[in-house]
Amino acid sequence: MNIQTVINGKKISVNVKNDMRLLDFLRDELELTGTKEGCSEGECGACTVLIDGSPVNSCLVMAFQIDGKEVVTIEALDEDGNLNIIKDTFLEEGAPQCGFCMPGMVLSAKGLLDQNSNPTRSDVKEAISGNLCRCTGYTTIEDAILKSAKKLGGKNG
Amino acid sequence: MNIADVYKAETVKECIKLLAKHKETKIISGGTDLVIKLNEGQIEGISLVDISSIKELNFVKIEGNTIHIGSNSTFSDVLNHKSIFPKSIKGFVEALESVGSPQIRNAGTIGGNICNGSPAADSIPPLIVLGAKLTIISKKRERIVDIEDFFLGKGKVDLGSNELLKSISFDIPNEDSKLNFYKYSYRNALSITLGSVAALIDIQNNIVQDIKIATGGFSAYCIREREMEELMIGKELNEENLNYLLNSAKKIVQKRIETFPNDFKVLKNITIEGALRHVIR
Ligand code: FES
Ligand code: FES
Repeated sequence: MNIQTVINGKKISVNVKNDMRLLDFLRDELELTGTKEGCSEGECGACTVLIDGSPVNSCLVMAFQIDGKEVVTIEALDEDGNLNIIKDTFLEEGAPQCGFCMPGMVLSAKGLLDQNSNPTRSDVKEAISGNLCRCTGYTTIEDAILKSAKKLGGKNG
Repeated sequence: MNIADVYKAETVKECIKLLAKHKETKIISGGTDLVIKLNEGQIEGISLVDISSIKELNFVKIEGNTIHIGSNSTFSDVLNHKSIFPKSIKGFVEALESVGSPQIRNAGTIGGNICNGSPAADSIPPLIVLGAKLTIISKKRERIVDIEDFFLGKGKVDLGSNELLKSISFDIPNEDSKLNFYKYSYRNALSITLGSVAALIDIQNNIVQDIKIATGGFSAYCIREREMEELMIGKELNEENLNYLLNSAKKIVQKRIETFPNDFKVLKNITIEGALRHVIR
Protein backbone atom coordinates (compact mmCIF):
# COMPACT_ATOMS: atom_id res chain seq x y z
CA MET A 1 0.00 0.00 0.00
CA ASN A 2 1.24 3.48 -0.81
CA ILE A 3 1.24 5.74 2.21
CA GLN A 4 1.92 9.38 2.96
CA THR A 5 3.49 9.92 6.31
CA VAL A 6 5.78 12.21 8.24
CA ILE A 7 8.82 10.61 9.84
CA ASN A 8 10.91 12.79 12.11
CA GLY A 9 9.51 15.90 10.51
CA LYS A 10 10.11 14.74 6.94
CA LYS A 11 7.16 14.12 4.65
CA ILE A 12 7.48 10.92 2.69
CA SER A 13 5.38 8.98 0.24
CA VAL A 14 6.37 5.35 0.21
CA ASN A 15 5.19 1.87 -0.63
CA VAL A 16 4.96 -0.40 2.41
CA LYS A 17 4.62 -4.16 2.43
CA ASN A 18 1.32 -5.45 3.81
CA ASP A 19 2.98 -7.71 6.31
CA MET A 20 5.43 -5.26 7.83
CA ARG A 21 5.19 -3.92 11.35
CA LEU A 22 6.14 -0.31 11.91
CA LEU A 23 9.18 -1.51 13.86
CA ASP A 24 10.46 -3.50 10.86
CA PHE A 25 9.67 -0.69 8.47
CA LEU A 26 11.69 1.79 10.52
CA ARG A 27 14.64 -0.52 11.04
CA ASP A 28 14.82 -2.47 7.79
CA GLU A 29 13.43 -0.08 5.18
CA LEU A 30 14.35 3.35 6.55
CA GLU A 31 17.46 2.11 8.38
CA LEU A 32 16.44 3.95 11.50
CA THR A 33 17.90 1.34 13.79
CA GLY A 34 17.74 3.43 16.95
CA THR A 35 14.34 1.89 17.62
CA LYS A 36 15.03 -1.44 19.31
CA GLU A 37 13.22 -4.75 19.29
CA GLY A 38 13.04 -6.50 22.63
CA CYS A 39 10.05 -8.70 23.28
CA SER A 40 7.90 -8.17 20.15
CA GLU A 41 4.78 -8.32 22.28
CA GLY A 42 4.26 -4.97 23.92
CA GLU A 43 5.93 -5.83 27.22
CA CYS A 44 9.31 -4.11 27.16
CA GLY A 45 8.90 -0.71 25.48
CA ALA A 46 12.27 -0.88 23.69
CA CYS A 47 10.44 -0.21 20.42
CA THR A 48 8.61 2.90 21.69
CA VAL A 49 8.08 5.70 19.15
CA LEU A 50 5.72 8.65 19.13
CA ILE A 51 2.73 8.52 16.81
CA ASP A 52 0.96 11.88 16.62
CA GLY A 53 2.75 12.76 19.85
CA SER A 54 1.80 9.70 21.92
CA PRO A 55 4.25 6.97 22.93
CA VAL A 56 3.24 3.62 21.43
CA ASN A 57 4.96 0.28 20.84
CA SER A 58 6.06 0.11 17.20
CA CYS A 59 6.08 -3.70 17.41
CA LEU A 60 2.29 -3.63 17.74
CA VAL A 61 1.50 -1.29 14.85
CA MET A 62 1.37 -2.29 11.21
CA ALA A 63 3.49 -0.05 8.99
CA PHE A 64 0.61 0.82 6.64
CA GLN A 65 -1.33 2.21 9.61
CA ILE A 66 0.91 5.28 9.85
CA ASP A 67 -0.60 6.64 6.64
CA GLY A 68 -1.62 10.22 7.39
CA LYS A 69 0.12 10.16 10.77
CA GLU A 70 3.33 11.55 12.18
CA VAL A 71 6.05 9.38 13.67
CA VAL A 72 8.96 10.48 15.84
CA THR A 73 11.87 8.14 16.54
CA ILE A 74 15.02 8.57 18.60
CA GLU A 75 16.81 9.82 15.45
CA ALA A 76 14.65 12.95 15.33
CA LEU A 77 16.22 16.32 15.83
CA ASP A 78 12.97 18.10 16.53
CA GLU A 79 12.58 21.78 15.92
CA ASP A 80 12.08 22.79 19.55
CA GLY A 81 15.07 20.74 20.57
CA ASN A 82 13.24 19.05 23.46
CA LEU A 83 14.39 15.65 22.40
CA ASN A 84 18.02 16.76 22.35
CA ILE A 85 17.80 18.28 25.79
CA ILE A 86 16.32 15.06 27.14
CA LYS A 87 19.02 12.97 25.42
CA ASP A 88 21.82 15.19 26.78
CA THR A 89 20.38 15.13 30.28
CA PHE A 90 20.18 11.34 30.23
CA LEU A 91 23.91 11.31 29.44
CA GLU A 92 24.77 13.92 32.07
CA GLU A 93 22.95 11.93 34.73
CA GLY A 94 24.69 8.73 33.70
CA ALA A 95 21.33 7.14 33.04
CA PRO A 96 22.32 4.70 30.29
CA GLN A 97 24.25 1.56 31.12
CA CYS A 98 24.00 -0.94 28.29
CA GLY A 99 21.71 1.55 26.57
CA PHE A 100 19.31 -0.88 24.97
CA CYS A 101 16.22 0.54 26.67
CA MET A 102 17.26 4.15 26.18
CA PRO A 103 15.60 5.07 22.87
CA GLY A 104 12.29 3.89 24.27
CA MET A 105 12.87 5.58 27.61
CA VAL A 106 13.76 8.90 26.00
CA LEU A 107 10.64 8.83 23.82
CA SER A 108 8.39 7.94 26.76
CA ALA A 109 10.03 10.86 28.58
CA LYS A 110 9.38 13.17 25.65
CA GLY A 111 5.75 11.99 25.46
CA LEU A 112 5.36 12.91 29.12
CA LEU A 113 7.20 16.25 29.05
CA ASP A 114 5.36 17.46 25.96
CA GLN A 115 2.11 17.07 27.91
CA ASN A 116 3.21 17.84 31.43
CA SER A 117 6.04 20.34 31.89
CA ASN A 118 6.03 19.94 35.64
CA PRO A 119 5.83 16.23 36.46
CA THR A 120 6.19 14.68 39.90
CA ARG A 121 8.37 11.63 40.45
CA SER A 122 5.27 9.48 40.45
CA ASP A 123 4.18 10.92 37.09
CA VAL A 124 7.61 10.00 35.77
CA LYS A 125 7.40 6.46 37.18
CA GLU A 126 3.99 6.04 35.55
CA ALA A 127 5.22 7.40 32.21
CA ILE A 128 8.07 4.88 32.01
CA SER A 129 6.11 1.98 33.54
CA GLY A 130 5.90 0.40 30.08
CA ASN A 131 9.68 0.55 29.57
CA LEU A 132 11.79 -2.20 31.07
CA CYS A 133 15.42 -1.65 31.95
CA ARG A 134 17.49 -4.61 33.04
CA CYS A 135 20.50 -2.54 34.09
CA THR A 136 19.85 0.65 35.99
CA GLY A 137 17.20 0.17 38.64
CA TYR A 138 15.40 3.17 37.12
CA THR A 139 16.43 5.84 39.67
CA THR A 140 18.97 7.57 37.44
CA ILE A 141 16.46 7.51 34.59
CA GLU A 142 13.81 9.16 36.76
CA ASP A 143 16.35 11.74 37.91
CA ALA A 144 17.28 12.49 34.30
CA ILE A 145 13.64 13.01 33.33
CA LEU A 146 12.96 15.29 36.29
CA LYS A 147 16.09 17.27 35.48
CA SER A 148 15.05 17.52 31.83
CA ALA A 149 11.70 18.90 32.94
CA LYS A 150 13.49 21.61 34.90
CA LYS A 151 15.70 22.50 31.96
CA LEU A 152 12.71 22.63 29.68
CA GLY A 153 11.12 25.22 31.91
CA GLY A 154 8.97 23.45 34.50
CA LYS A 155 9.28 24.60 38.09
CA ASN A 156 9.41 21.55 40.35
CA GLY A 157 11.70 18.98 38.85
CA MET B 1 3.63 -12.93 8.66
CA ASN B 2 1.15 -13.51 5.88
CA ILE B 3 -1.49 -10.89 5.10
CA ALA B 4 -3.58 -10.89 1.95
CA ASP B 5 -4.63 -7.28 1.53
CA VAL B 6 -4.77 -4.12 3.59
CA TYR B 7 -7.40 -1.41 3.40
CA LYS B 8 -7.81 1.86 5.19
CA ALA B 9 -11.22 3.23 6.14
CA GLU B 10 -11.58 6.89 7.09
CA THR B 11 -15.32 6.80 7.77
CA VAL B 12 -17.81 4.29 9.17
CA LYS B 13 -19.48 4.18 5.77
CA GLU B 14 -16.25 3.27 4.03
CA CYS B 15 -15.52 0.64 6.64
CA ILE B 16 -18.81 -1.23 6.37
CA LYS B 17 -18.56 -1.09 2.59
CA LEU B 18 -15.11 -2.67 2.73
CA LEU B 19 -16.32 -5.30 5.20
CA ALA B 20 -19.28 -6.15 2.97
CA LYS B 21 -17.12 -6.42 -0.12
CA HIS B 22 -14.15 -8.41 1.15
CA LYS B 23 -14.30 -11.77 2.84
CA GLU B 24 -11.85 -13.00 5.48
CA THR B 25 -11.12 -9.59 6.88
CA LYS B 26 -10.19 -8.45 10.33
CA ILE B 27 -10.57 -4.97 11.68
CA ILE B 28 -7.41 -3.43 13.09
CA SER B 29 -7.11 -0.28 15.14
CA GLY B 30 -4.60 -0.12 18.00
CA GLY B 31 -3.19 -3.50 17.01
CA THR B 32 -2.11 -4.29 20.56
CA ASP B 33 -3.58 -7.81 20.45
CA LEU B 34 -3.91 -8.52 16.75
CA VAL B 35 -0.35 -7.68 15.67
CA ILE B 36 1.07 -10.13 18.23
CA LYS B 37 -1.13 -12.88 16.79
CA LEU B 38 -0.19 -11.93 13.21
CA ASN B 39 3.49 -11.79 14.06
CA GLU B 40 3.39 -15.20 15.73
CA GLY B 41 1.52 -16.68 12.78
CA GLN B 42 -1.54 -17.53 14.87
CA ILE B 43 -3.64 -15.70 12.29
CA GLU B 44 -2.73 -16.00 8.63
CA GLY B 45 -3.94 -15.16 5.17
CA ILE B 46 -6.57 -12.60 6.17
CA SER B 47 -7.01 -9.03 4.96
CA LEU B 48 -6.91 -6.08 7.33
CA VAL B 49 -9.23 -3.10 7.46
CA ASP B 50 -7.56 -0.30 9.39
CA ILE B 51 -10.00 1.89 11.30
CA SER B 52 -7.44 3.78 13.38
CA SER B 53 -8.13 6.96 11.39
CA ILE B 54 -11.94 6.92 11.78
CA LYS B 55 -12.38 10.06 13.85
CA GLU B 56 -16.17 9.84 14.11
CA LEU B 57 -15.81 6.76 16.33
CA ASN B 58 -13.51 8.51 18.72
CA PHE B 59 -15.69 10.28 21.27
CA VAL B 60 -16.86 10.27 24.85
CA LYS B 61 -20.07 12.09 25.61
CA ILE B 62 -22.76 12.30 28.24
CA GLU B 63 -26.33 12.70 27.00
CA GLY B 64 -28.88 13.01 29.77
CA ASN B 65 -28.11 10.12 32.06
CA THR B 66 -26.26 8.05 29.49
CA ILE B 67 -22.56 7.86 28.67
CA HIS B 68 -21.63 7.02 25.07
CA ILE B 69 -18.13 5.97 24.10
CA GLY B 70 -17.01 5.56 20.49
CA SER B 71 -15.46 2.16 19.87
CA ASN B 72 -12.32 3.68 18.38
CA SER B 73 -11.50 5.69 21.52
CA THR B 74 -8.22 4.54 23.02
CA PHE B 75 -8.03 3.85 26.73
CA SER B 76 -6.08 7.12 27.06
CA ASP B 77 -8.79 9.01 25.13
CA VAL B 78 -11.45 7.76 27.56
CA LEU B 79 -9.26 8.50 30.58
CA ASN B 80 -8.76 12.06 29.32
CA HIS B 81 -12.48 12.52 30.00
CA LYS B 82 -12.42 11.12 33.49
CA SER B 83 -13.15 14.49 35.08
CA ILE B 84 -16.63 14.45 33.53
CA PHE B 85 -17.40 10.95 34.81
CA PRO B 86 -19.50 10.73 37.97
CA LYS B 87 -17.97 9.21 41.11
CA SER B 88 -20.37 6.29 40.88
CA ILE B 89 -18.38 4.76 38.00
CA LYS B 90 -14.99 5.04 39.67
CA GLY B 91 -14.36 1.32 39.15
CA PHE B 92 -14.65 1.73 35.39
CA VAL B 93 -11.96 4.41 35.41
CA GLU B 94 -9.75 2.24 37.62
CA ALA B 95 -10.15 -0.67 35.24
CA LEU B 96 -9.01 1.46 32.29
CA GLU B 97 -6.09 2.81 34.30
CA SER B 98 -5.04 -0.75 35.05
CA VAL B 99 -4.77 -1.66 31.37
CA GLY B 100 -1.26 -2.51 30.18
CA SER B 101 1.22 0.33 30.04
CA PRO B 102 0.98 3.94 28.81
CA GLN B 103 1.99 2.75 25.34
CA ILE B 104 -0.77 0.12 25.32
CA ARG B 105 -3.36 2.61 26.64
CA ASN B 106 -2.36 5.10 23.92
CA ALA B 107 -2.94 2.57 21.16
CA GLY B 108 -5.46 0.01 22.41
CA THR B 109 -9.11 0.90 21.97
CA ILE B 110 -12.13 0.10 24.06
CA GLY B 111 -13.84 -1.43 21.03
CA GLY B 112 -10.85 -3.67 20.41
CA ASN B 113 -10.82 -4.80 24.02
CA ILE B 114 -14.47 -5.85 23.69
CA CYS B 115 -14.31 -7.42 20.21
CA ASN B 116 -11.27 -9.58 20.98
CA GLY B 117 -13.37 -11.41 23.53
CA SER B 118 -10.32 -12.13 25.64
CA PRO B 119 -11.17 -14.09 28.81
CA ALA B 120 -9.65 -11.38 30.96
CA ALA B 121 -10.17 -8.04 29.19
CA ASP B 122 -9.89 -5.38 31.87
CA SER B 123 -12.58 -2.99 30.69
CA ILE B 124 -15.32 -5.59 30.37
CA PRO B 125 -16.37 -6.63 33.90
CA PRO B 126 -17.21 -2.99 34.81
CA LEU B 127 -19.14 -2.57 31.53
CA ILE B 128 -21.10 -5.77 32.25
CA VAL B 129 -22.24 -4.61 35.70
CA LEU B 130 -23.12 -1.22 34.20
CA GLY B 131 -25.39 -3.05 31.75
CA ALA B 132 -23.61 -1.54 28.74
CA LYS B 133 -25.21 -1.79 25.33
CA LEU B 134 -23.23 -2.19 22.13
CA THR B 135 -24.30 -0.55 18.89
CA ILE B 136 -23.22 -2.66 15.94
CA ILE B 137 -23.53 -1.67 12.33
CA SER B 138 -23.29 -3.40 8.99
CA LYS B 139 -24.20 -2.30 5.48
CA LYS B 140 -27.70 -3.67 5.93
CA ARG B 141 -28.66 -2.81 9.48
CA GLU B 142 -27.81 -1.45 12.87
CA ARG B 143 -28.48 -3.48 15.99
CA ILE B 144 -28.03 -3.16 19.72
CA VAL B 145 -26.71 -5.98 21.90
CA ASP B 146 -26.32 -6.26 25.66
CA ILE B 147 -22.63 -6.58 26.34
CA GLU B 148 -23.40 -9.57 28.53
CA ASP B 149 -24.79 -11.47 25.53
CA PHE B 150 -21.99 -10.42 23.20
CA PHE B 151 -19.49 -13.02 24.42
CA LEU B 152 -20.01 -16.52 23.09
CA GLY B 153 -16.81 -18.35 23.95
CA LYS B 154 -13.08 -17.86 24.31
CA GLY B 155 -12.24 -15.24 21.69
CA LYS B 156 -15.71 -15.68 20.18
CA VAL B 157 -18.12 -12.78 20.02
CA ASP B 158 -21.46 -11.99 18.44
CA LEU B 159 -20.02 -9.92 15.61
CA GLY B 160 -20.38 -10.88 11.98
CA SER B 161 -17.46 -10.49 9.59
CA ASN B 162 -19.41 -7.67 7.89
CA GLU B 163 -20.14 -5.85 11.13
CA LEU B 164 -18.44 -3.04 13.02
CA LEU B 165 -18.86 -2.14 16.69
CA LYS B 166 -19.72 1.55 16.69
CA SER B 167 -20.23 2.54 20.27
CA ILE B 168 -20.74 1.49 23.84
CA SER B 169 -23.44 3.12 25.96
CA PHE B 170 -24.46 2.79 29.58
CA ASP B 171 -26.63 4.64 32.05
CA ILE B 172 -24.99 6.36 34.98
CA PRO B 173 -25.91 4.33 38.07
CA ASN B 174 -27.97 6.02 40.78
CA GLU B 175 -26.11 7.92 43.46
CA ASP B 176 -26.54 5.27 46.12
CA SER B 177 -24.60 2.74 44.07
CA LYS B 178 -20.89 2.52 43.65
CA LEU B 179 -18.81 0.60 41.18
CA ASN B 180 -15.78 -1.16 42.62
CA PHE B 181 -13.10 -2.92 40.60
CA TYR B 182 -10.15 -5.03 41.60
CA LYS B 183 -7.65 -6.95 39.55
CA TYR B 184 -4.75 -9.24 40.19
CA SER B 185 -1.82 -9.41 37.82
CA TYR B 186 1.79 -10.45 38.22
CA ARG B 187 3.09 -6.90 38.29
CA ASN B 188 1.64 -3.45 37.91
CA ALA B 189 2.27 -2.26 34.40
CA LEU B 190 1.92 -4.59 31.44
CA SER B 191 1.42 -8.29 32.15
CA ILE B 192 -1.76 -10.17 31.58
CA THR B 193 -4.52 -10.14 34.14
CA LEU B 194 -4.84 -13.13 36.47
CA GLY B 195 -8.36 -12.27 37.40
CA SER B 196 -10.55 -9.25 37.95
CA VAL B 197 -13.89 -8.55 39.57
CA ALA B 198 -16.28 -5.62 39.22
CA ALA B 199 -19.23 -5.04 41.53
CA LEU B 200 -21.95 -2.43 41.27
CA ILE B 201 -23.26 -2.31 44.77
CA ASP B 202 -25.93 -0.46 46.72
CA ILE B 203 -25.60 -0.78 50.48
CA GLN B 204 -28.09 0.91 52.83
CA ASN B 205 -27.76 0.55 56.61
CA ASN B 206 -25.24 -2.20 56.02
CA ILE B 207 -27.77 -4.23 54.01
CA VAL B 208 -26.89 -5.09 50.42
CA GLN B 209 -29.93 -3.70 48.59
CA ASP B 210 -28.68 -4.59 45.18
CA ILE B 211 -25.51 -5.97 43.69
CA LYS B 212 -24.23 -6.88 40.25
CA ILE B 213 -21.00 -8.82 39.96
CA ALA B 214 -18.94 -9.60 36.87
CA THR B 215 -15.60 -11.34 36.57
CA GLY B 216 -12.76 -11.58 34.07
CA GLY B 217 -10.32 -14.45 34.02
CA PHE B 218 -12.56 -16.98 35.77
CA SER B 219 -14.32 -18.37 32.74
CA ALA B 220 -13.79 -18.68 28.99
CA TYR B 221 -14.92 -15.05 28.76
CA CYS B 222 -15.93 -12.22 31.05
CA ILE B 223 -19.28 -13.00 32.63
CA ARG B 224 -21.96 -11.75 34.96
CA GLU B 225 -21.94 -13.79 38.16
CA ARG B 226 -25.64 -14.07 39.01
CA GLU B 227 -25.18 -17.01 41.37
CA MET B 228 -22.80 -14.95 43.48
CA GLU B 229 -25.09 -11.91 43.39
CA GLU B 230 -28.03 -13.87 44.72
CA LEU B 231 -26.07 -14.91 47.78
CA MET B 232 -25.64 -11.27 48.81
CA ILE B 233 -28.85 -9.50 47.83
CA GLY B 234 -30.85 -8.49 50.90
CA LYS B 235 -28.10 -9.76 53.21
CA GLU B 236 -26.32 -7.83 55.91
CA LEU B 237 -22.74 -7.04 55.00
CA ASN B 238 -20.97 -8.92 57.77
CA GLU B 239 -18.07 -11.32 58.00
CA GLU B 240 -20.30 -14.39 58.15
CA ASN B 241 -22.28 -13.57 55.00
CA LEU B 242 -19.16 -12.46 53.18
CA ASN B 243 -17.34 -15.68 54.06
CA TYR B 244 -20.27 -17.69 52.84
CA LEU B 245 -20.11 -15.83 49.52
CA LEU B 246 -16.36 -16.27 49.22
CA ASN B 247 -16.54 -20.02 49.83
CA SER B 248 -19.40 -20.41 47.38
CA ALA B 249 -17.61 -18.27 44.79
CA LYS B 250 -14.55 -20.51 45.02
CA LYS B 251 -16.75 -23.56 44.41
CA ILE B 252 -18.42 -21.86 41.44
CA VAL B 253 -15.07 -21.04 39.90
CA GLN B 254 -13.52 -24.43 40.65
CA LYS B 255 -16.36 -26.19 38.86
CA ARG B 256 -15.48 -24.29 35.68
CA ILE B 257 -11.81 -25.23 35.79
CA GLU B 258 -12.08 -28.82 37.01
CA THR B 259 -9.72 -30.16 34.38
CA PHE B 260 -6.98 -27.57 34.90
CA PRO B 261 -3.69 -28.20 36.76
CA ASN B 262 -3.73 -27.91 40.51
CA ASP B 263 -1.52 -24.85 40.90
CA PHE B 264 -3.75 -22.98 38.47
CA LYS B 265 -6.79 -23.88 40.58
CA VAL B 266 -5.08 -22.68 43.75
CA LEU B 267 -4.17 -19.42 42.06
CA LYS B 268 -7.76 -18.85 40.91
CA ASN B 269 -9.05 -19.60 44.42
CA ILE B 270 -6.81 -16.99 45.96
CA THR B 271 -7.63 -14.49 43.22
CA ILE B 272 -11.42 -14.75 43.34
CA GLU B 273 -11.44 -14.61 47.13
CA GLY B 274 -9.12 -11.61 47.36
CA ALA B 275 -10.77 -9.68 44.54
CA LEU B 276 -14.29 -10.21 45.88
CA ARG B 277 -13.19 -9.02 49.31
CA HIS B 278 -11.91 -5.84 47.71
CA VAL B 279 -15.05 -5.03 45.74
CA ILE B 280 -17.80 -5.93 48.19
CA ARG B 281 -17.66 -2.94 50.48
S1 FES C 1 9.67 -4.91 21.32
FE1 FES C 1 7.88 -3.74 21.35
S2 FES C 1 7.36 -3.68 23.44
FE2 FES C 1 9.05 -5.02 23.42
S1 FES D 1 20.47 0.57 30.35
FE1 FES D 1 20.54 -1.54 29.88
S2 FES D 1 18.44 -2.02 29.63
FE2 FES D 1 18.38 -0.04 30.43
